[in-house]
Amino acid sequence: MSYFAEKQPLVADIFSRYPDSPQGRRSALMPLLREVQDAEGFVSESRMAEIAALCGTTATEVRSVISFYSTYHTLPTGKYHLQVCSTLMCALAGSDELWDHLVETLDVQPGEVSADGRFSVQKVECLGSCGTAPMMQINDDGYYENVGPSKCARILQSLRQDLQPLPDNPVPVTVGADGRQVLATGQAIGSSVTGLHRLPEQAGGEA
Amino acid sequence: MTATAPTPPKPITSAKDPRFAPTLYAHVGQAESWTLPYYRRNGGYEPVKRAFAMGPDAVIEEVKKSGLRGRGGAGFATGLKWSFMPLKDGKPHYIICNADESEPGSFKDRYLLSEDPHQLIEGMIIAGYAMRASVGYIYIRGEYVHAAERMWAAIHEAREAGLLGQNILGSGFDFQLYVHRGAGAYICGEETALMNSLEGLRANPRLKPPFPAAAGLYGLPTTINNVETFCAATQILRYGADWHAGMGTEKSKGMKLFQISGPVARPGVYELPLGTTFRELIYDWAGGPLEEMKAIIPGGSSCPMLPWTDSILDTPMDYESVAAAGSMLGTGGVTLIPKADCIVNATWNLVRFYGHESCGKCTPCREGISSWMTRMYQKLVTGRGQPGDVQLILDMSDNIGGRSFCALADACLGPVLSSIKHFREEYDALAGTQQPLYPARKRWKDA
Amino acid sequence: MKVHVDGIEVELPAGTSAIDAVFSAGGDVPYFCAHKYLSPLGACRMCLVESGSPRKNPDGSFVMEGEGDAATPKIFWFPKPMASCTMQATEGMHIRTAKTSEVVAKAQAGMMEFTLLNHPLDCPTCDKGGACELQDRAFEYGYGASRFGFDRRHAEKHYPLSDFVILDQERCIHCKRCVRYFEEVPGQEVLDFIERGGHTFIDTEEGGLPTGFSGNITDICPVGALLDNVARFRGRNWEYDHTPTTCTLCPVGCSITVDARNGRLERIVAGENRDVNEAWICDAGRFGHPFASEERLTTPLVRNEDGALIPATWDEAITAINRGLLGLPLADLGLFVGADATLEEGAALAALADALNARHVDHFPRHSVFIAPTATLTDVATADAVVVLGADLGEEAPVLELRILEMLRGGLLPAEFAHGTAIADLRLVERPARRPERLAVIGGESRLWGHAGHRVSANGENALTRLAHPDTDDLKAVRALLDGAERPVLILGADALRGASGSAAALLADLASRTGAKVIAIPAGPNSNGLAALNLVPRTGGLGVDRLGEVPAAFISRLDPGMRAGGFTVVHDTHLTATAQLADVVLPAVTNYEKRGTVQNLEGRLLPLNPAAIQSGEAADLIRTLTALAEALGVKAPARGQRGAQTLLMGSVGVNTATVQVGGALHTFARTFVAPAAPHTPKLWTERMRSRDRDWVERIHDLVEGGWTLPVAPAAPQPGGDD
Ligand SMILES: Cc1cc2nc3c(=O)[nH]c(=O)nc-3n(C[C@H](O)[C@H](O)[C@H](O)COP(=O)(O)O)c2cc1C
Ligand code: SF4
Ligand code: SF4
Ligand code: SF4
Ligand code: FES
Ligand code: FES
Repeated sequence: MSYFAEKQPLVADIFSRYPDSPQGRRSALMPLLREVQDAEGFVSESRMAEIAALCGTTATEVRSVISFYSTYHTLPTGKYHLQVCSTLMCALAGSDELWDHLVETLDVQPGEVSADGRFSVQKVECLGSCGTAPMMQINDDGYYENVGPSKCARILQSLRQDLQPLPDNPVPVTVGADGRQVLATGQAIGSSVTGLHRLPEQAGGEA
Repeated sequence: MTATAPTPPKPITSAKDPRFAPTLYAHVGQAESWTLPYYRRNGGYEPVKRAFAMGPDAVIEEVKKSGLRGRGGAGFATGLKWSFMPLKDGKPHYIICNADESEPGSFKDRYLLSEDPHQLIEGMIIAGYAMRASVGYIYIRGEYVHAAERMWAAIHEAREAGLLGQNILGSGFDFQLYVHRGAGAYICGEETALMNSLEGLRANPRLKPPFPAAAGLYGLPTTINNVETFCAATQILRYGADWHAGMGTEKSKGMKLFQISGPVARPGVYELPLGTTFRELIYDWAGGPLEEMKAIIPGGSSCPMLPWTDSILDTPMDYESVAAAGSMLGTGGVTLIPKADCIVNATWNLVRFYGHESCGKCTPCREGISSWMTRMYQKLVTGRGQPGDVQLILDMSDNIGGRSFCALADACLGPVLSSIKHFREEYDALAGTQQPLYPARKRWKDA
Repeated sequence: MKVHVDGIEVELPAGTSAIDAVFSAGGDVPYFCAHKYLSPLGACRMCLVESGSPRKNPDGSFVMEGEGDAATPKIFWFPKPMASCTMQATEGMHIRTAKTSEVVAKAQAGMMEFTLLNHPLDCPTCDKGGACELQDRAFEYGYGASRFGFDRRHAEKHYPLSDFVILDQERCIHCKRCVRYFEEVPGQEVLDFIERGGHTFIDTEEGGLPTGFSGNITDICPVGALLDNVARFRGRNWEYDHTPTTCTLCPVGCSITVDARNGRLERIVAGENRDVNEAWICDAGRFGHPFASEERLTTPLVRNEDGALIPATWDEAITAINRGLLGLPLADLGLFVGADATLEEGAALAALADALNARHVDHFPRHSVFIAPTATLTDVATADAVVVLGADLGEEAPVLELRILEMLRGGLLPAEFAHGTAIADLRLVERPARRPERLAVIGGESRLWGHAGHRVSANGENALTRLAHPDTDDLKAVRALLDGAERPVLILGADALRGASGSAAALLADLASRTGAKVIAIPAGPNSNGLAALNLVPRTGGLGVDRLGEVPAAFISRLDPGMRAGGFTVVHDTHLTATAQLADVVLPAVTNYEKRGTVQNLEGRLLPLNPAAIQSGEAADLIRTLTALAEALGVKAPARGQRGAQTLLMGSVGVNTATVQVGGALHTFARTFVAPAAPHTPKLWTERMRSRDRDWVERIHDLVEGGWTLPVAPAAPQPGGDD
């Protein structure tokens, strides 16, 4: 059964972002793959063929692209796919132990799905959250940061009850509501934008 | 006509200076900062009007005058780069925002995208106007789901408000903006690989020349800049080139988002003028290390490590000073490595990263790094090292360095060569006695 | 522009790549990913050189080095070696190769070590051995030993990509030639890398590579990763006799090299001819050769009293013919020949026909009109509009299709140097932009259809009339394309030419002159263009081959109409065809791989055939066979051998084929002969072109499954013999 047949407005929206040319059509490849994966959790062979036809290319090319990137799956994952960052900054905050802990308590190896179908795990590379390490991502839903042992236990407990906690998205920035940056001592220092001189709108080019 | 120039004020090189105010991050962390009403209340979409009033060429001049350099890592002069775009070729032009942020230790762009998306949109409208581009793409790494959603929402808001689309604010300028999400590949940060990815291809880097300004996306003139670069352009149009040039050092002007990770009291992102010292960042802002340190990665994982010494700590963080100290400013992502951690193990982590991220196009990287170097390190850290291994790593590095197609292979050699240079005894221990000087230890704990 | 390579100064055209500069200067650089007819890639990093250029002062003068008169422009060297295949040489550039630079020598040895890192030690059993770019270059530029102390990558070693192409994933060095080839040349995205980094491998997801042009990747793969499955394990490269010749399966006339061993034709690889096929051939031309060494007729056969065909000597066959034709007026004997006969053979046959005063003379297939080619294949590739009428190029002239696709990607023909075609022409780019709007296809659907910007479904037979007087918007658009183009080419195929008459030719001439279009009418048979210059059509009162049954008696050479003449029938062929089985006497023929001679291709180019060392017993070409026939008829032989036939040809059409060069030469014959023709549908592949040797297939299977270790090259079964 076709995935996109019933979703013409979505397909049209995706194509509208790119030029109306063979190259532009090809650009829709990654967004279309993302749609399928978000909906079905993985990209099956028949979906690859469907996307190939939409983008004016072949299944070979679609598979080649899928296999190049690390977040596409061609097999179903667990209901909760835990992606643990294993790169240095997280490793300095104990991500190896977090990983070992997950593999052990969930009894699942990468590439497998736990017996209850709930969990799968994957080591991933730096997710741009090094200031709030260690961290993991669950499915495509968002980041779970500063995942220490107790937080990890809380997350797993919720997931076991199929109550996925919301991602937290902490912002490790110390600019206060008054627009001034705060030193480690707690002291706000420097100025805020109100102290800067905004140029008039019609200033023209010459200084 | 020549005016007598007043003596310029002393440039700002510390965020503690009362003349300094965070601008890029002024609103990051505030409630609703990502919405259009919030943005407008705080003077948003005024700079773009100023740009329209100046005309495109004057915008490029303004950016040139500001001394802004690319914040994606290489530090190339932004105004100059913009001026490479052909003026009257009659072809469509593109601008692309590089929001692939994948260099380990870098996490500044993520908060710009999710917390202040309109600042980026505005910067891209300004850049598009200056470079005669009518379409822009924001290439956001696939894992930044939250950021991509915020970005899309902001684009829709801007469209509704007539800030994107036809004849923006009555200027006669048409500009469309789209998000394109990546899917997990560090190499997509390399600008030509990014263009391939945007075209739905494998993200292998492309040959240069032709450079993107001549033949980029879809073979058409294209300019790619980092998220922070575009945001800085918004601020330059708001406060002026002189304001921007009044911060930093002679060749490294303006403010920069510095990130700090590793065991420090307050890891995070700090907006500081270029030329701020490592010491100020680490102690005054980040609250100091939590334990004894031995190495600093100054600008993201590919920048050579520097030893933890007073002279390094007192080095100003600007492109030239960090280069003189033997490394690179990169993305400004500072990582501290504790004394008690094995440097070979830490380097192995990064070598593995680069091996995993090699696109596989060229031989030195695919075979030299991905197949061989990773295994040499694995061998060392798993206690199977042999005398001669370090020498072999050095010779392999000599055969890889400067021979690869793109800079990724060289990026891997940053940590390899610097760690051997500064911490050779740790390597020799593993190669000689198969025992690390600093054995593994527990690090996972509640915050 | 002057460039200095290892101290040698060469003068080169602007735009030359550094690698071609090196070769122009007589130097050498190892390379794996660069390929003459593909876009430069810069992936293997073997072709590193050091380079430096002079710089100018702000006043335009050179920055100098040295004092006074001895001063020379100072050369600013790049701090690191550069890939020469992707670097443009510039005025005054200095280049150092491994010959003069330690840095380059070490860089190349190091790169070779990386390249060999995961490469298996298969040389003793690899079909590529002896002709392997990696093996050769490792010997010349490598360290000689690897310091990689780990397990090599393991992957599929016998992975069929199609019936014809087999992949050994372990041997792949990721040069991407095969992937670029498919995308850039036939425009098919059917093969690509999977995974990335050290895990990258080659695969297809199409359930097999499409037949058409797939075999070319076995030529260009620099290692033994992609191999010709038909020639698999058949022999070692140094054991083959290599014969450069011309493919005569279709009227393109591609340059090929025929590899024979122990008297068997084992393999065909593409030859290079910049004017014709560049470096590509079609799968039929490459893989369709098993017939040449399977089930060949090696002696004459004569029908005995019991009605069975039994082996005989040539003398016995001559006697049998003489007896069988006794009493027949010589002028009643039909003389028919296949249209892949050489010009020399045709001249001999025409001369015999003259001598016998024969009427029933014909060659097949041919068209009922002769339209002289005015476009060359290079014109096609460099055209700015091509209109194809009623042709199925895949069946009629496959490589013509590639030249049309070349036109679509801009018609950039790689430059030529004294050392040959440019190794890296920097104008060629990966995933080139295509201009489908420059191609119009009118007729039935074919493979080319998918590439064309204008597609008009039409009955081929009136396509020309409709194009001359466009009656729909689609056709008007095609007409506008033709009218607007500066270098248009019109190509007519079998459907458009079927039953065409002189008025069609006039219509075409008119259209061509109005639009300035050059024309190629694809000949019906491989050498139909050439044979049309000879009087080999039915003469006054004569019958054509389509009315064979009404001809009192006939000699039929290399034609298989599946019927016999009214009376005594002599068949000259390579195999016991359906027609041969009906004959009274069968004479063994040689294939075109075994001939010396000349053919003329669809653009009018005379191309040489050279004989490969293939055993076929007592088989003979048409010239020698006609000598025997003449003897049986008691007339003087028209020509005794090749030399005599060349003289005949010289006399009849004024062309000296003895001087035709390897690459061929364009020639227009002053006169051509036409006559109404029977309809014919071209078909490239015939049944005999696929191997019928099931034993061999099983043997290979056993070898592969059983983990072979030794080079296996079986002694060829001796063809021929007396019983
Ligand atoms: C391997 C590699 C990875 C890169 N990753 C990024 C990245 O994640 N984000 C980024 O902005 N630039 C990255 N760059 C730099 C870009 O290629 C490019 O120089 C930059 O986006 C230009 O923007 P700027 O001039 O504003 O700095 C990377 C470069 C290389 C070679
Ligand atoms: S160095 Fe080569 S293999 Fe590595 S990422 Fe760049 S192009 Fe790809
Ligand atoms: S299979 Fe051969 S041609 Fe293709 S990439 Fe590998 S080595 Fe190159
Ligand atoms: S295109 Fe024609 S001449 Fe060329 S190889 Fe194929 S059959 Fe032979
Ligand atoms: S290292 Fe884990 S998020 Fe950066
Ligand atoms: S890099 Fe492969 S030939 Fe130049």
